[in-house]
Amino acid sequence: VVTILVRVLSAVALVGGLVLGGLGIKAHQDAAQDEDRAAALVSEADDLREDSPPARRAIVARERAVTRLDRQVQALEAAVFDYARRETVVIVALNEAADRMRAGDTAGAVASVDANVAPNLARLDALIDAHQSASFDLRAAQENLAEVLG
Amino acid sequence: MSRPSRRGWLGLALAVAVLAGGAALFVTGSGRTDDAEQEVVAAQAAVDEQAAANQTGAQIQRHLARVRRVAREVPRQTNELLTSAAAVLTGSRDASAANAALVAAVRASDYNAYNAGIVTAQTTSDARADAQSSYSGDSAQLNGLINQIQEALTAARDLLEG
Repeated sequence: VVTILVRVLSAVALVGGLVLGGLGIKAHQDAAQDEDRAAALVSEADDLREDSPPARRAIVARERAVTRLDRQVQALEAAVFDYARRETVVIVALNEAADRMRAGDTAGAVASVDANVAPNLARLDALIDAHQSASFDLRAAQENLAEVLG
Repeated sequence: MSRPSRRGWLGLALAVAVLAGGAALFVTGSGRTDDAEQEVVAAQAAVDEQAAANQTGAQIQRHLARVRRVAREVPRQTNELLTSAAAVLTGSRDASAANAALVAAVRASDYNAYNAGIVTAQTTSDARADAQSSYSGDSAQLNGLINQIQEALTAARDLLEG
């Protein structure tokens, strides 16, 4: 009986061991295939990552450059059109002073010039300076944009 | 009751050893398979995520290419604007000088100088107005280019920020 039991146990253990071993080998083979596939996918992800452009930096740099250009265009425009508006004020004030002069009110004409014309002439000179400065800055902003765009 | 032979015991020991080896192979193989499957899932997710990001990146690049195309016009248009702005500046200086002469004439109560100065002031003012008109056209052109660039950059930023 013991001999038979030993033989049965031996047979069961042998068959079980072979089956488990076979399944284990198959599992290792599958795992090796999956590991190769995972490695290939990781490599593919790396390749894709290398293709990915540094978009954020590019956008931010261009936004800054074009905003600077826009600001200088607006500054120049403000200087040009403010001059025109201010000059109209000067011409009206000059006409009033001239009318006084023609009417013989010399003192009134001079007072009118002092009060209404001279301050505006000074502002016109300031606008001329602003115009010149904005032109210079606009050129620099355009060169900066060209540099950013390469 | 007969005792198993020495050969029988050896056979059982060998069979048990085979069982133990098989079980060890099975356990390690199963564990390795689970790990490898998780690696594949994670790697596939990384590939999908990067591919999606790259697709968005390609769209962003198209907008940036548009920015480059439009921006190529900017130097020429800026030059034209600065040229017309320089003409306006000259007009402004001439007009200011003419107005200053009129002020001097009023202060001196010099009618003749004033009347002569009026003609000069009108001429310079007209010249400046013409230059400003030309400048306005160039400014509108450059503003149009800037708007196009800003639109393309906004579209690119919208894509970037999802």
